[in-house]
Amino acid sequence: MNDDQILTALRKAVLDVAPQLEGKLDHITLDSSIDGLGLDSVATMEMVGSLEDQVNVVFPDEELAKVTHLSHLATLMRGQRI
Amino acid sequence: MSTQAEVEVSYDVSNDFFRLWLDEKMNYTCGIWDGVDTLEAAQVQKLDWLAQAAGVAPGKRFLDIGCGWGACLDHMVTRKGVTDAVGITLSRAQAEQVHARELSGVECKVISYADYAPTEKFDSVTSICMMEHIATPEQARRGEHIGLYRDYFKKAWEWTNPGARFGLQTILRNRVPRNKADLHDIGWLTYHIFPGGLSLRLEDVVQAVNPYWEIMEIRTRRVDYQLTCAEWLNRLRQNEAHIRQTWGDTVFDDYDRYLRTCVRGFDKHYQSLAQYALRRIDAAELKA
Repeated sequence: MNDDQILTALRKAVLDVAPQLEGKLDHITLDSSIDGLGLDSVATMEMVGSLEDQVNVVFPDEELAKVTHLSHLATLMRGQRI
Repeated sequence: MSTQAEVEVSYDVSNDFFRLWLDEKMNYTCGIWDGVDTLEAAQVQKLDWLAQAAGVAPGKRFLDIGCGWGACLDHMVTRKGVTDAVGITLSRAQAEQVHARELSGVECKVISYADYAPTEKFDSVTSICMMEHIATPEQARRGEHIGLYRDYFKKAWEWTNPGARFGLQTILRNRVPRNKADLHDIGWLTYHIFPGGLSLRLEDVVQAVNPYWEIMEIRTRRVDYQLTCAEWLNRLRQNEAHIRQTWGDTVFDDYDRYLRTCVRGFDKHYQSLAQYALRRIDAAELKA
């Protein structure tokens, strides 16, 4: 997956759990922080579930514990370790 | 560590309430369902496995850390020939039930493992789903949990004779749910039914036993716990009218939700269960 494909998947995952952010995600990049999305911990895990469904991969929980930025999720989506 | 008040939220609703939906001996932990189809038989198999892991035999002095209502003590005395045993628990209602069994050679103390200081050492130890009360979620978030688990294993080491064995059982937290309903149910269960408690990660146990106990065997039992919880839920529901009338709608509804959450949690791999056979590492073994 290239960066554009990953960002598209990330935007879809965020909108799946926070549809109120429609139209407000154009500025995000892989350098954006998870905190900056304004999702609570439950919504963040739901977003992860949406991403896993899109790429048909289950991320290890201990890797998820290290995630602070979208670039970390991109790493996991590419099947790599953070 | 769970406080006495937190432990009593989990175990002191009423002994008669738990008696309605647990097995006849009141085991409140996972049974082993290999080749059997009743909760009673599954619980006997579980206790047999732990007895073997702990090297229980006539003449061996036996300790059960977190002894519940005394099912394990009862099993070791009536089926395994133990004549000298101690159980410790923080729940006064559970201790009352242990005393009511009038088991010969058994002493039950209401005391925290952190304060327990036996005058005579033990040869065999069991601890069945008690470690979940050692570290709170807040302590785990601060990274204090491994040290607390290690302190517990160190105490068990100090309380035992060279050559001692330890049959351990713990619930495991395997995977964080990815959907809102399950996340809310697991969170509710953690803070409402078992306040102050936290299931362990398998790697926590592997890390914390050292340098006191050698892991001889680990066996996971995820599906067995799913079956156990499903049978508890079935029995709870068979007694719904009586429970609602005697203890109120909230008690029934809370326990129905809790057991449903557990059945789903084990099915979806959010949780599992592990049994361990541990062997005491005697100091001389580690000397150069």
